[in-house]
Amino acid sequence: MSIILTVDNLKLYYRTRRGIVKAVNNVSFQLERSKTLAVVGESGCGKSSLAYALIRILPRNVHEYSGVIKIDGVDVLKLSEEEFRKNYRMKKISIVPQGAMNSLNPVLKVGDQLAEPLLVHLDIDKDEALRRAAEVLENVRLPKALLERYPHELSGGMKQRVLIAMALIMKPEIVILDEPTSALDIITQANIINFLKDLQSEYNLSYIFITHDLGVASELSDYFAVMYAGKIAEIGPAEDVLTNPMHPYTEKLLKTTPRLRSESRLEFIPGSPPDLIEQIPGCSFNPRCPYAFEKCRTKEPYMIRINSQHYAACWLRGDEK
Amino acid sequence: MNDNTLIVGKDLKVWFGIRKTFFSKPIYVKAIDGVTISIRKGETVAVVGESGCGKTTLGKTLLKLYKPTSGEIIYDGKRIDTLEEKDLKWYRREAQIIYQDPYSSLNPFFTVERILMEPLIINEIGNSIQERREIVYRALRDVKLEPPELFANKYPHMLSGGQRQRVAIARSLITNPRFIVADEPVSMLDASVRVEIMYLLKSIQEKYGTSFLYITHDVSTVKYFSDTINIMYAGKIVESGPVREVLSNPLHPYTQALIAAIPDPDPANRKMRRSVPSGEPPSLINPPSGCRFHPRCPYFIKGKCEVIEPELIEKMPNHKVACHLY
Amino acid sequence: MSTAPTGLKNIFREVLQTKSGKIAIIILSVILAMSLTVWITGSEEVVKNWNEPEYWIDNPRLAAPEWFSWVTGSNAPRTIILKPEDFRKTYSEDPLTGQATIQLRTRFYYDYNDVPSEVILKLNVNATTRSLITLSWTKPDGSKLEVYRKDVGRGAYLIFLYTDTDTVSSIKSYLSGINASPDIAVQTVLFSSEASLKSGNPKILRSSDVNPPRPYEVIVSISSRKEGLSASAQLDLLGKVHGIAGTDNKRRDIFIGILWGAPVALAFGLTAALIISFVQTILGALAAFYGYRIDEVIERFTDVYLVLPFLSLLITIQFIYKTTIWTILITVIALSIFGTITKSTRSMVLQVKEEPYIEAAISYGASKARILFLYILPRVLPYTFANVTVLVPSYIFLEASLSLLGVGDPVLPTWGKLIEEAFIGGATFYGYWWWILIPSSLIILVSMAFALLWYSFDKILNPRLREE
Repeated sequence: MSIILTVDNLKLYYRTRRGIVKAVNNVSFQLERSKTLAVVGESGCGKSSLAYALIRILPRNVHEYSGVIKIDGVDVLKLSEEEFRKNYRMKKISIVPQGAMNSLNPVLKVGDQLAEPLLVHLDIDKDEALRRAAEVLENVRLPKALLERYPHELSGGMKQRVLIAMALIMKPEIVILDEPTSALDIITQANIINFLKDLQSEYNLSYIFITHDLGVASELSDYFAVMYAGKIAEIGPAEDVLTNPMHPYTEKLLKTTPRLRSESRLEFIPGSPPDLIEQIPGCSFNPRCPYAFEKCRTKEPYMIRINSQHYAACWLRGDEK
Repeated sequence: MNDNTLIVGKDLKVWFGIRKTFFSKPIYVKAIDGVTISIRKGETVAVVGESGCGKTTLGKTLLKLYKPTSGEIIYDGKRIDTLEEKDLKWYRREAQIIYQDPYSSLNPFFTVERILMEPLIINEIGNSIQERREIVYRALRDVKLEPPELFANKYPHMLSGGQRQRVAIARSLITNPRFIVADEPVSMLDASVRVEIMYLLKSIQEKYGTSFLYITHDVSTVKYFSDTINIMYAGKIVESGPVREVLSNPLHPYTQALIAAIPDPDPANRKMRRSVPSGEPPSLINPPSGCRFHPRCPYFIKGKCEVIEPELIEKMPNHKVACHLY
Repeated sequence: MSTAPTGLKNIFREVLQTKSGKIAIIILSVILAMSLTVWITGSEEVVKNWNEPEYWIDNPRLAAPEWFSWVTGSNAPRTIILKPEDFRKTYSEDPLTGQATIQLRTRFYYDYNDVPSEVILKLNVNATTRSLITLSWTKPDGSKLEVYRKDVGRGAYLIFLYTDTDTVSSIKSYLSGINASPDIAVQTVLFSSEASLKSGNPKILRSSDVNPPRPYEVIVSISSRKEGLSASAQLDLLGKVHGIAGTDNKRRDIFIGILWGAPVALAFGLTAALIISFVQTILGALAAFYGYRIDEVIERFTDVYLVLPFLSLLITIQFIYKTTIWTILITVIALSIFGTITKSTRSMVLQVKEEPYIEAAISYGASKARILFLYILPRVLPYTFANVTVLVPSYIFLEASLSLLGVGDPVLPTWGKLIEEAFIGGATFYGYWWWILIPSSLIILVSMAFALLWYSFDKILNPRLREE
């Protein structure tokens, strides 16, 4: 069990006209080699911002970007933009962005788009790059002929696979998947998940799987991190988090998920997730939490240990760090 | 068809013609290619399928937002497929729609009150602004946006996704329709909000006896808000029946695949592979011959499935399926 | 969270918050104030007086703006007008001959570093017989000369002392009398010290050059039979600088010309831009919304109009028909009913048409017309306004161009007309820079104001430029 990625106190704040958006607010977690960590939460909880914070693709209006991101022992946050770009982005850690439909350049052929990162980063010529592109297409079970096609000629599932191919072309070890299946049909989704499982075992990839769909996350993930209002509310092995949730938000979230195979009554959480500008005193979830008590309203909970791998930021669980 | 039926679509076909160039012959996208569906009074009928299967087109055609290429639509005993827009003014009060996207289905320049008053003004409901405002407030209370005075003066961009969808629902209710088409009403909302909205729709149905056509791609929500389910594939209905029946005993291979593909949050999921048919839904311009599912079907019978199109037969009471296996 | 929709009220508020918006509004308010002043003080006068030479007779010709003399430190002479009331009248009679003499005396201090451009005597004589007029001129250094002596009948006289033949010969004889060169200009002689004239190097004599400072004295005598004798005089010492913008070759104050041209420019530009933008917008919206044949017709018309050589047609029409500015306006509008705004509105409406809330409106029974005017147009109007902003300066420029080419309105003092007259008057050749530069600068200023306004509109309307 070796750790490939360690994140400590990661912060990413944006400056906007209305105030500072604390999109990633002191997030810490670890990722083991060849395992998958799911980051789940509703829209606006900061999970996409977390993805971009990890891969360091930041917009212009960043207010604060700090913390520790250790990939294979190296704190990449301390590296310059140039160093990170040359040695880490796409090479050690890459991302499959959200919205497969729109992430491909419609005026370039698929082959050219796949070859581009190679031409930028490596000292090889176009033919060699295209050869490697063909190779990676094979890896994602797509025909070589696709190199000559334009994105609009591909179906949704194919486009998603091309994006996964692009993320893999430099042979990274960590792949961030940002809602890889939300634009796809259920059956295609199941196919892609199967395919991601195969890739993981074949190439020893470590995944960070970002989604709002708990069901899909459970298809692939060994560990779950539940995000709420820019912070991690609960983190632990899938078995623990899904069957024995320790944070009221996780508990409620599970109860709002419609299930095909069980008859339980669905619940909903009153109110709505806070926007990331206003900071709620104490625990961010307390206004909507049925178990909130005095301490919740005043003191912000830290991660409290449930067992060696399972933590929840909730005062109900005592106060052992 | 009996007295309890509110609306029937018989053998509906909706083909959209597109021309590649000015001179070539038009080719047709056969969005719906022979669909029969009926909805009783006070019933919720679900139409489930992947995107591009024609379910949204079906809903909008029943509302006469698209003109059927052929087939009949009978509403409350009256044939409406042949009627022109000018003769359909009464129908616009009876049948309404709720859209999927709460961000673009409300006019961003109008206040909530104005959005809700428009249908009243156009349909000449209410004799004064006061009366109409009362109706608007009542609708806002129905969708639990209270106090209504507070929400009436807000603009859509000031509301959350869930709140906007409530306004959209209020708008669909305000003319007291008997038939509402709900096109993926919760798929763009957060998980924690979805359930609330679905329960809201259910309570509205119970209160007003409205019939719903619930269009969705998410099979697992159907059992919370539907009586009957129809599965659509490539412009045709392949299976239909009572919700519990179809979900516990799916007959059509496609239905079986759909159900098998859906993950419930279960940590054991990651240890197994789901067996699902490969491939993608076919193009609607040139659908596969015979049974449209045959290229992907695990039970493909050569010589039969690609040649003859299966009829929708009633295999069990009220449970219909279109497949050569039966 | 999505951003606020861009309704018109919001936009104007936001515009005022940007730097460029603020500058634009300031400039435009000034121009607007100018226009309103003219409008209030009566605009019919404008046209009449602009072409009436007598109205301007008290101004110097081709004088530079007054601030120019401050800038260069040259202390150039400004106009001094000695009105009839500035003259002291003495009346004397000779009982023997029955002759009477009216003496009009005046004095003034002169401290400029240069002589006046012109010296003009206006005389009003009422007598039963002919009168003898003399004008004597005393300088601060004590030297005196008789400038004018003539025998005239009754009437009103305008004597340009620097060209009047009698004056010139009087001056010449004075010069030879003091042994100075006879080829010195009248104004120079009148305003130089006698000593410097004698030495052949005329140097201007200022009142302050003497200690204590002494004024120049002018005495006009009118002698005639005493019956019904009355007279009044005005002495104009026209300067070399005048006003805020100088004068042109017809002595017209250019600043007044600019003031009078402001409302014309604005009115023309705004009316043309507003009407054309709106007509094109509505046509574009109709084309997109109703589609099919209406769309085809409007699109084809637009294509034809876009190909038309607009300026050439306009110039030709104007050359043949020589119409007034309002007819020019109508012609411009007629030649611009269809255009690029039609196309851009059409594409916007095509997109908006697809939004679910439009289809929802159909589902609750809204008529097409209602949807077009109440739902779609408000979405499109902010962009139309931005278009108006960018068009106003082009139409102001167009009118100026037409005037410059000589085919504009023949009578009105528009900014373009001012520039045209400057060209014809040889301003570029002779260096009368204020005549051209000042009207041009104003056109540029107004165009810039609208461009800044458009720039802030664009910042607000273009989502990619918004920093959020």
